[in-house]
Amino acid sequence: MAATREQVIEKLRQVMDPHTGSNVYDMGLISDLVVEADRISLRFSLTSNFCPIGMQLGLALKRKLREIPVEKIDVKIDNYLRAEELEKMLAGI
Amino acid sequence: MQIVPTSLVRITRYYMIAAIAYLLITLAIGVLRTIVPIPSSLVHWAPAVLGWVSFPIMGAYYQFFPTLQGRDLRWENLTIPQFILVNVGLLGLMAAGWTGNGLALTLSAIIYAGGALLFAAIIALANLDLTKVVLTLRFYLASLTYFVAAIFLLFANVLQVGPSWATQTLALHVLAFGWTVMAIIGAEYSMIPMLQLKELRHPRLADAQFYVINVGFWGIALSLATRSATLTAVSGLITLVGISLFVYNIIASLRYGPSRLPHLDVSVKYFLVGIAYLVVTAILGTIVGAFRLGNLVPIHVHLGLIGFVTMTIVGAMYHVVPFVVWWEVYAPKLGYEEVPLLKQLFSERLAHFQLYGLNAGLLTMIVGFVLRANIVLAFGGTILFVTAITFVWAMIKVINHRKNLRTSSAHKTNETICGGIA
Repeated sequence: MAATREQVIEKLRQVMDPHTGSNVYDMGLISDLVVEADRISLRFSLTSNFCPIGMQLGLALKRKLREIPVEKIDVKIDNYLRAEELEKMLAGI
Repeated sequence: MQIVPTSLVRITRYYMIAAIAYLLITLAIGVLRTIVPIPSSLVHWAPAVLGWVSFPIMGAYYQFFPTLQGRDLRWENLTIPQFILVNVGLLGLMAAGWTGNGLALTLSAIIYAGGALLFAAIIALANLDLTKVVLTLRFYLASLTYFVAAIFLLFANVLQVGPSWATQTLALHVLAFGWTVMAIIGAEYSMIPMLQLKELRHPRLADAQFYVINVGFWGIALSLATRSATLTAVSGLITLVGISLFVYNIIASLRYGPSRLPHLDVSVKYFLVGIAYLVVTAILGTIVGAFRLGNLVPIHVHLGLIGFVTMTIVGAMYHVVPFVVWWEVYAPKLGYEEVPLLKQLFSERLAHFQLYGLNAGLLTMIVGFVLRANIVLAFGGTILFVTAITFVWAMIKVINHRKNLRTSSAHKTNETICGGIA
């Protein structure tokens, strides 16, 4: 069964920022969301370049998306000092 | 996959806990000295400026320097000996001040200075990439430099081995202004926009402000060394310009763009009240220095140390302590199970109560100084002490969340990340 955009947004709404209590989708941190039959791709922009929980939020986001049965999930990271490191880490899970 | 906290969290937590202990000691001795004379003022100011004020900065630098440069803490195994050195040195200083033991004073000063130098070495030699010095780190670097200078000046003065211009007033200003104010301004340029989900409105103005306030600082230091009232007035005004630019930039940042949070973060409230006291402290300090109004010095000192510094540190702790505990206990569970929000780790109501308590205690003390009434001073000090006790209780409750570590199911997984891929 192919993933739907609504399904992806629902998962993104389950990733809460522990500081604000809002989810990453409603905070406007997700852009370039593309949902295809076997692939999801999106851009995740952190609220601060030095966000101390950037790694954890990125991992939580990928974990939630992994609950959707698609072959490939691409997450690009924006506005984060360790973006490259985090993208590499996310590609491995 | 699991994120395992490093001891970066541990050393920061140790510093925060020790700082709170020194706050209680400082307040208790402060109240005590309004009732009975104490052997030496060192017993009061040392735990205040070398413990309560300096420890949170050291703890924060161990976290901020790596974080702001996108790397992990290096020479981490030296942080615990460094922590022990400054604690042994400080406790020794207090004991020596109380007993009047000159040898113990010398040894303790050397031990504390050793710890301070080791701290500076850990940061500067192992945790500093000069190609990545952002605005906040520029303030921190200046502050670190002033800290080392202040420690030498202070102990040269305490041990009476320094030149005549190295007075205690100069040393304490280098410590309070150079080390502390620079650190706080640098931190607030990052933390206030970050906590309110905003961006710094005028980064270039902040760059310029760095130089203005440093010129003001050097002028004040020079005026204290040369005892020039004119230079104090001029450099005090330059400092006030620097502070005004900072205040303008912070307010502009808070007002600019969409507000993604319905209210001001509780830490930001503390910071803003602290900034108001900074302005008052700077104005009063300039007047005191320019017109030689020595009787206003205690008001200047307490407005600065309690109004600005303590307010800011308490506000910062309401972010840093819940954060480090959350990071250690709940971050590994993020995405696996529901985890509490940072603000659910403490009572915001109690935090607001303490904000009022600190203000009430401080303003009562100011009235006591104006009236020269020890009973009013003792009353104000007692309000501060009671408020501090409730703050300690709040922090203990936050730290108690660590007991959830023992029941963490996430720890049963095999995969591990420790600031990278393992």
